[in-house]
Amino acid sequence: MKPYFAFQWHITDNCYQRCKHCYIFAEDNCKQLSEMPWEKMKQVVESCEDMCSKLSRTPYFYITGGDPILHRDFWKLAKLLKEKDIAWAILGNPFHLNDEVCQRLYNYGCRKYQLSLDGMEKTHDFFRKQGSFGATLKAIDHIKNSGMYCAVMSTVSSANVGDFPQLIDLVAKKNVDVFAFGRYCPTSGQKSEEYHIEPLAYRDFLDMCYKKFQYHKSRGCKTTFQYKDHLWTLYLYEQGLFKMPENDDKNMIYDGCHCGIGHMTILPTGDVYACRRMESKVGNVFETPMYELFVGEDLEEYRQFDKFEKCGKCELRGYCRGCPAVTFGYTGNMYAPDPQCWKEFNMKTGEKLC
Amino acid sequence: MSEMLKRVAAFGAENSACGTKDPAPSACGSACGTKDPAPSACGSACGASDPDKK
Ligand SMILES: C[S@@+](CC[C@H](N)C(=O)[O-])C[C@H]1O[C@@H](n2cnc3c(N)ncnc32)[C@H](O)[C@@H]1O
Ligand code: SF4
Ligand code: SF4
Repeated sequence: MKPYFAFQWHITDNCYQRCKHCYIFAEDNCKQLSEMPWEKMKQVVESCEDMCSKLSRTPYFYITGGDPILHRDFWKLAKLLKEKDIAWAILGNPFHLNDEVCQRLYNYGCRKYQLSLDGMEKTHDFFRKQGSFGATLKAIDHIKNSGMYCAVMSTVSSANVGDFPQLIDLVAKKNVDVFAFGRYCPTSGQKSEEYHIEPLAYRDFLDMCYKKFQYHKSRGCKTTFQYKDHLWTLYLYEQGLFKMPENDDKNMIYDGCHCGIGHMTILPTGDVYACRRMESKVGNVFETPMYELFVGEDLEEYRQFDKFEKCGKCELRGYCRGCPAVTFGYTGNMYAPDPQCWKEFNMKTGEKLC
Repeated sequence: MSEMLKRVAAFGAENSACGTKDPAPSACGSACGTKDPAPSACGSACGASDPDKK
């Protein structure tokens, strides 16, 4: 099969929560809620299919919001994706799910429903809203009953880092199919300080998670614990669990951040972002086809691999590059050093990294 | 085609910025096959992203 290309498609801003950390509502960004009209949605699907056929990729849609299920034409879109046999998943909320809705999603070909858990009950409900934690645990059962994969995604910051040992135990107990976390991407300078985790503390956090993952696996837990944050590569490299192929080409990009390479984001207005986790508009799909946007100059600015200030000197550049969106949130420059990267030297040359 | 894209060895990404990958077997599949049985066995394309899948 041709490799996937992931389209994170925010079809609506409509949402029953106003999470404290959410990039949509932070800093008064979303003054007016947008929802993409049905005719435009069909255009988006066609433009993404066209792009993928020109690039020999397979489209994978991550339908999201807000809460995508609140979009008035959500089920029409589900039907269209099913008819076209396109792979798709949802990043959504728990509130409107029951066994019947989940079965319907499954029948329309939705292969995975991703929910968020941002800590244990007190922390999660503080970030999201009263009752959100309980609703999410119930929704996990409905999703699993339907045959869809159930993924749980968490956003880690200094505000919830202490909850993770319990959170990992919980997702293992609930037998979710996938668990992963990403780092909080600050939307202001003040928030980057408020939610900051020191680099070595972050390494210790990954170490704790790794040990927890291994413990649950050794007891037969079926959850796939994913290493989504690219700094996992550094952690695993230091543990001897990740090895670079011996004859790799130092100029090439093999893995790590897929910004400008393997995913793009479409907003309800049709605006296209290199990555939703940072301000990175590269155009609008209703003015420029997705293919043109992908190969275009604006997106090229987001894949300047030689501009990474610290990663450029690091032997892991082709495999990691940290999270440029987190870095952007701290500095306004995605190519600055990742604020949680604890690496000091190039282990091959001994050169100091910064 | 963009100069930078010529330097990308593996394009495949099934997870979006805020999304998770599917669980194994397809988790590592898009870029480099279907299974990832041991640390870094998935090699250059997927590197360390899923080292201890079943
Ligand atoms: C925008 S939400 C949409 C789906 C759904 N409403 C939810 O909350 O899961 C997708 C994911 O982005 C995460 N997210 C929102 N703002 C973020 C930020 N500033 N930094 C990192 N992740 C963020 C959310 O926590 C959630 O896991
Ligand atoms: S539920 Fe999701 S979209 Fe809604 S405010 Fe929270 S993070 Fe944002
Ligand atoms: S310097 Fe960059 S590539 Fe190297 S470990 Fe840190 S974030 Fe990763």
